[in-house]
Amino acid sequence: MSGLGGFYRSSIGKKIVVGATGILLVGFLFVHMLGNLQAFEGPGEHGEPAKLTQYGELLRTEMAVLWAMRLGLLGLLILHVVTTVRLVAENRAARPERYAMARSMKTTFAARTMIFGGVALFAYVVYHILHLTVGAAHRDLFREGDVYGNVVRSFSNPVIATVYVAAMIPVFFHLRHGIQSALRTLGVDHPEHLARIQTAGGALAALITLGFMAVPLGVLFNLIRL
Amino acid sequence: MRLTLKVWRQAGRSARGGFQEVVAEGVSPDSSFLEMLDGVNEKLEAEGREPIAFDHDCREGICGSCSLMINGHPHGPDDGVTTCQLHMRRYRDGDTIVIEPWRARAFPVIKDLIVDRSAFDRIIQVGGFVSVNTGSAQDANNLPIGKEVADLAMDTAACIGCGACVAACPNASAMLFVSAKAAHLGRLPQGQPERHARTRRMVAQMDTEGFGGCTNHGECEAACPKEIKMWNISFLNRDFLQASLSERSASQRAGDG
Repeated sequence: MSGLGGFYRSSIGKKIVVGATGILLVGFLFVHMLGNLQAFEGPGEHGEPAKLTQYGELLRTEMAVLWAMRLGLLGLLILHVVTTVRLVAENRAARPERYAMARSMKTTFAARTMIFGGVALFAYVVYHILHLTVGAAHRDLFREGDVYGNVVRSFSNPVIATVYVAAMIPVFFHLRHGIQSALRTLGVDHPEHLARIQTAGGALAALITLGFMAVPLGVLFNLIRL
Repeated sequence: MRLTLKVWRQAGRSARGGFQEVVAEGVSPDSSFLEMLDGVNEKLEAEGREPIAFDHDCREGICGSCSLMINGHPHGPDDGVTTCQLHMRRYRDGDTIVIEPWRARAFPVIKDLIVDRSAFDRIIQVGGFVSVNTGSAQDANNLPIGKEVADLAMDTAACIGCGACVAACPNASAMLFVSAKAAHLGRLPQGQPERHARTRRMVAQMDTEGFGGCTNHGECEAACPKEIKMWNISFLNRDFLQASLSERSASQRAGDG
């Protein structure tokens, strides 16, 4: 057993891949969340497009760069998901016969629901891309290039806004366990650092979650309007 | 005390097992859990029935032989003790106690509550040691070791290999056990020459045996009768990453001359 193949075949190697891709995806989420908050800058004055729309145009300045980033993210997501699926299958196989009575002592709701949160998140991401990137989910609400308008028109519909807010709940639990778990897997073994990482990871998870929830709620409560 | 036991009975490795209800009468609250089972077995034998098979040896919490999942807790409900150190005063008259063997693919049931834990032996055999030339012992102070390092190494050396970590883990992972050995020897100067090879080999053997992987639930740490901490798993992960990054093929090693 040697080389990259051997590393990936080993249980710890796969764990490190899931942890490292997870941390990079958290980095993306954080930047994405900050970008979204520009919706609070409003529709734009003196005939200028909204800040959020300008930001969308900025990202599209060089389509090659945008596609490189998209493909990079897609690669990270595929590695993260495919490797996790393999790990989960191995972990299930490691205990073919269940206990008649098993009581957990230390594990958390977040830890036990990682895989379900992950599946919910994946379904949400597919819908989200079809909705606000491709524009196929709600054609009547979508106008190519009008980022701010698309956001406000969509979230004025309470059902869509609720779906977006509700989807952030599994995000919170997934990140709350995921961030600290990934750093453990990547080798942080100092007990005091681990305690700090658990607190900081939970806080970052809450920050990202609330930041994402702010935009649909802002539209729903009329703080963000056309 | 009078207790109702729901005990897993299984005639052999490939036999189908199931729960059997046994009543334990006249149990002294001062007896240990294993002494209670001894009493039950005497009664079963007197009635001409098959006694309950369970592992035990030193009965003072240092050998790692006893196991038992008791009401869903490895080694019972108390922290930092093995089943032999669990006392019946922990229970009340009339209680029902469910007793199961450790459950893991890598720990097949041999009979009733006894599981085959030789997977742990094979993990130790591939790397859980330091190679020392025979001859006269060197002076103990030849190798200075800081107190902090010595203490950390000692904490992990306390592992008795009972398998409670595997039993408690939702993934039946052996990473607390493997990490205890990797961190024990990997922290000491005597363990450095074989450090990377040890970590790689033990992890490979652990995977071959069919244990699951750690998902950082923390159940192992809570179940460990020697209170070995989960941060050792982080140590193992980092050591494995370093070992993988510095791994060289045999031809490259030969080239190093």
